[in-house]
Amino acid sequence: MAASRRWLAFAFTMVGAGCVGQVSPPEGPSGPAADVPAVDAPATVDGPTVDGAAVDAPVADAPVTPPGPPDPGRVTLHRLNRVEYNNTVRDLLGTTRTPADDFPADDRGYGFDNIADLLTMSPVQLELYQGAAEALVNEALRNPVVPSVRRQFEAEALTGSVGAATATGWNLWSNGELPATLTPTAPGRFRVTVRAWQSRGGPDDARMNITVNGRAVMGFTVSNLAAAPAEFAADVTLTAAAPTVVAAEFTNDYYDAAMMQDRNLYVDWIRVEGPIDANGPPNPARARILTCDPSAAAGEEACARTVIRAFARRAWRRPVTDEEVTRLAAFLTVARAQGEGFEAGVRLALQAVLLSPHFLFRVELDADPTSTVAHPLNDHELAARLSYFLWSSMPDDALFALADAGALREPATLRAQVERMLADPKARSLTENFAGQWLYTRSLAEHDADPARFPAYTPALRASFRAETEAYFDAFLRTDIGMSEFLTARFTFVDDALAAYYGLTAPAGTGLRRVDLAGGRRAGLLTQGSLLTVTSHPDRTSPVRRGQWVLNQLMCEPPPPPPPDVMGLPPEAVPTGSLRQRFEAHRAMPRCASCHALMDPLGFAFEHFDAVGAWRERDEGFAIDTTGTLPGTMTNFDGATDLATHLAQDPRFPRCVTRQWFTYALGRGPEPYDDAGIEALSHDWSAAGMRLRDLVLRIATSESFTQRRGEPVGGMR
Amino acid sequence: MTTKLTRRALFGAAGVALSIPLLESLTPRRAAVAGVPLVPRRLIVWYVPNGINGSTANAFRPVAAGSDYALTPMLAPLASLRAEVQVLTGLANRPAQASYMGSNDGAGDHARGTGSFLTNARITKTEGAGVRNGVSFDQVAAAAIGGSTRLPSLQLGIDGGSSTGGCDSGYSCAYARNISWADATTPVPKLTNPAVVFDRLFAGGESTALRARRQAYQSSVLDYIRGDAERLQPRLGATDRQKLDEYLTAVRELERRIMAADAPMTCTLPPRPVEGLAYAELVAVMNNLMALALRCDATRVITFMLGNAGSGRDYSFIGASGAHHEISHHMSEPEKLAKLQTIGTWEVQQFASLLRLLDGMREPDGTSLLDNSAVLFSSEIADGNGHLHYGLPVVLAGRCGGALSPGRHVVYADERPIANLYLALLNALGATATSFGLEGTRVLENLGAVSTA
Repeated sequence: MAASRRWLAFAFTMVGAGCVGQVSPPEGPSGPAADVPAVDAPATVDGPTVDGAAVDAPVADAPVTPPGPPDPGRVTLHRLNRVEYNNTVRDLLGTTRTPADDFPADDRGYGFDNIADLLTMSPVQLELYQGAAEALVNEALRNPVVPSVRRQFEAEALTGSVGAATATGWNLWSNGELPATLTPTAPGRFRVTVRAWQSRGGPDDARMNITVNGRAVMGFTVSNLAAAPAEFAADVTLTAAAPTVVAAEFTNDYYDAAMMQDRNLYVDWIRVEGPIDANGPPNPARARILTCDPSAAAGEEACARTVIRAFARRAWRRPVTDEEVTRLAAFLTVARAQGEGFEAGVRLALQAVLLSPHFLFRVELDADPTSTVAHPLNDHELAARLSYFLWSSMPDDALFALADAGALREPATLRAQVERMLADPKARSLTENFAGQWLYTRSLAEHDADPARFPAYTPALRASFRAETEAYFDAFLRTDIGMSEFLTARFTFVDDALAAYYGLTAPAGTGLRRVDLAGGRRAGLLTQGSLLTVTSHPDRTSPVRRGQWVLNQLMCEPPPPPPPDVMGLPPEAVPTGSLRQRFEAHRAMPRCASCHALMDPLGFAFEHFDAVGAWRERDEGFAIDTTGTLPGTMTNFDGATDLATHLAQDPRFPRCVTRQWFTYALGRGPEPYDDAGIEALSHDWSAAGMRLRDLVLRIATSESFTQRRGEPVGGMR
Repeated sequence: MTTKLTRRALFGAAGVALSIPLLESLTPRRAAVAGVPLVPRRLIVWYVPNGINGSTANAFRPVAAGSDYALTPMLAPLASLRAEVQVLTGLANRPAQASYMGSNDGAGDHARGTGSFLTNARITKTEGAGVRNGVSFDQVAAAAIGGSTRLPSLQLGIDGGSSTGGCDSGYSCAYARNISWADATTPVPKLTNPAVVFDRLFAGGESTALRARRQAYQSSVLDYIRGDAERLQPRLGATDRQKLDEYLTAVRELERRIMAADAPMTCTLPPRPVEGLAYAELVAVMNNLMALALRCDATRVITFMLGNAGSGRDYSFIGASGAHHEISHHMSEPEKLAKLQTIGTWEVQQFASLLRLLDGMREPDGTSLLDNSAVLFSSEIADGNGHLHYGLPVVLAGRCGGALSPGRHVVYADERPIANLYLALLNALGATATSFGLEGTRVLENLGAVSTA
């Protein structure tokens, strides 16, 4: 593997070349700088010529090509992070709730929040899981069918405001009402029916209102007589839990004693029936979970076992044992002891499933947890690794089926599944979670800019920034454009607002549109508003942060931290130059110079873009200098797009992209034993055209991803 | 923009918390045990990020020692509480220094100072694997005095955490975001949504019968999941077992809570706080929740983080624009120092608001909550520019049941370990301890009645 060795040699010299004068690598044992002897490395090299020179140095080969089979390493028991929890309950239960939004923030390491070692469990966490499990199960099992109840009030048993009871009803002999009081069992539409007739008197027929809590909801003309009682019905909306008065009201009494004319209203009964639209919103989750009828001959116990087995299998991402089902089915007994039945027992069992370590953690087991011999993951473990990598969620039915059949790890199947999963809308999580953290787009939501200085930085602009970078990343994930163009591509995506902000003419249309950048000031990722903004301070640009971002995220060569006891500069008079000039004074201090010489020029390349990504010709009236030299090389650049062109050709870029994806895919930081594998991966991927989907495929089929091992007794790793 | 606090945001203004009726039943119920003080003692730690600086050398720290010291501009918000606070000068947290006991861990003073803020431990520099700190003194206190309350301790904050990037120079975010640590590897995370905090503290209110059933159900579920974890544990390697240990600890704690919830909360509660508050409102609401949690005896130990380590919050709303952390690297520039003074003064104002709430709440014996509490204000560093871990800004409020003698500026000549202060507070709170952290070997003297000198 000569090519890979040449690269390593190159990597080795680059790290050595950084920060001249640093006495010891201060990164500590886990830092990337610790694996190479920085002091002994050549201090200045020219990229292309170093390959041959350094390849013979034994120190470059020794640590990265260990004998024996590759070590896949091990991933610590992985608690679902907040995003994973929300997505998992979405896919498991069909809920739109996102309970994890209120969980404590997940700690982040190596740039990502899915690092298993940092996903801890605490009482408050478990307590919030408990509340979430209860709410989620209650929602999932909500019964959409509300039984309709009919209540009939015989009029002679009621008391009217006027009149008197008769043998079969109530006679309202003057204007007044006959009320009935009830408390609905559930809110909804109810049908109120009144059986009534009139005694005729005067020119008109009797008029009757049906009222609810004193308000007339419908009026009727009662023309029929005692010989032919009729029913009069009105549909009304009632709210549950409060006593409600439903009444028949007589409104046009007529009495003429001289003429023997007396118009009365007679009521036989009042009936309230409902809720009549007996079904609430349909609840497909309930139907999916409760797949059997507990009242059927097989009995409640058998039905509960069926329901629990199916649910636990999906929730725990693996088949469950009879013993596990039995333990869960015991909740039926717990519920009965409290005077409740089947459904309460099932509810408890499902809550227990959602609180079990088998749900909250992604459990991967070794036959011998103390053996360091690599072994393949079982198919269900592999399915979960795939789904949490590509979807930040649980496996779907297709993955389950393949895992059940033991067919997933077959290479052609695995590749086909990765392709299928990348095409699924759920792969959007790669944009939100991987790219969101790699490219810092997630930070936009919390980034402040001084409103006095940057009034253009509105929530709407922020949203457009984010949409642009996400669409741009998507374009590389979903098409065959190679990542070699990621930093330089002459296109981006803008909506009308962003087009105006950038001074571009967007093609006709609405929403985000792809726009050609040829000949403009912007190109590739590095000139997008999102990145330029989140790497700035609220009130000004930060060349240091921009430079650091390039080194950290694109080159994976984090600058060594400042000397431990670094002090600020002595007080400075009124600024006499551009930001760059003032920084250069700072860099003139020998202790600071070596590292700032590395970082700052990278950051200054972006100085034509202000703290919210807008173009500017001058900085506070001073001329802007955007020249610099790419660290570890003799390559000079001038400006952001020129820097991007050189970065895109630097071998550190594909290697770093690979490392970032590797870290996110596995949920752990790269260890020294991973270096050889990552190098080989990166090399082969670059040679094959640097398509993102290809990189995802290579990682998902790598030994590190498909295998694991135990850890030796007494050793933490 | 001004910081106008809506009544709605403060659940009907601060006055509501003050108007909670005096409930004699609260304290005596739990005071029957021999030797336990009649009125419980309490602890709040109120952390601010990025140190404290002002325009002049003595913008914060008083010049004279003793009780006749002149209040400095940044301490002026405490004027009305002067008799209730002591300013402590000359305390250091040396394990947070880059160089310590022969090792040099380089940059990362914010994460290191915050991670070891209450632990006085040397934290392990790592992004992920192998996080290692010590137990924090508030958790030691919680183990001793938190047993009978609904929550042994409560962790609150304003910022959950930034969503991208490293936290500080190779240190995991766990160090930068958590000051309470249950043990060397387990941070106790904080809650930042006041509505969730409210529910956690005060949920309940259903009928006795329903509560009994609910309790039975919750206990049976916890029994079950403990069984799951215990069956799983022997099948795991060492690191995974450690993760599951965290889980089992959480299960046990929750079981304890469900039993403790038996005694219903008897204090009158304000409405649940609303969500989506602006920063200044959020701080005020959190202060209210802290006072209320103590008042209702829902907990006796609270830690609060006004921001995470090295916070970059923009204080434009009080006229100090820019990122706080960046400004704290002031390089002695007058403009930045003035902004730092504005920010620091505002922070002291918020702290004073909390103290006033506690001062206004009466215990059954007529003393105030503040009389029976120790309320500590400090930061992960002293000076943002030099990242110093000595000369820490420390304000200690309250009398802790007579154990502390506030109303003074106490100056320690030779930078005593702040762990000695923690040791003194542990003893004042009723937790008997003889050493704490790496450097806490003797109780800090001259704090009050319990001091040895």
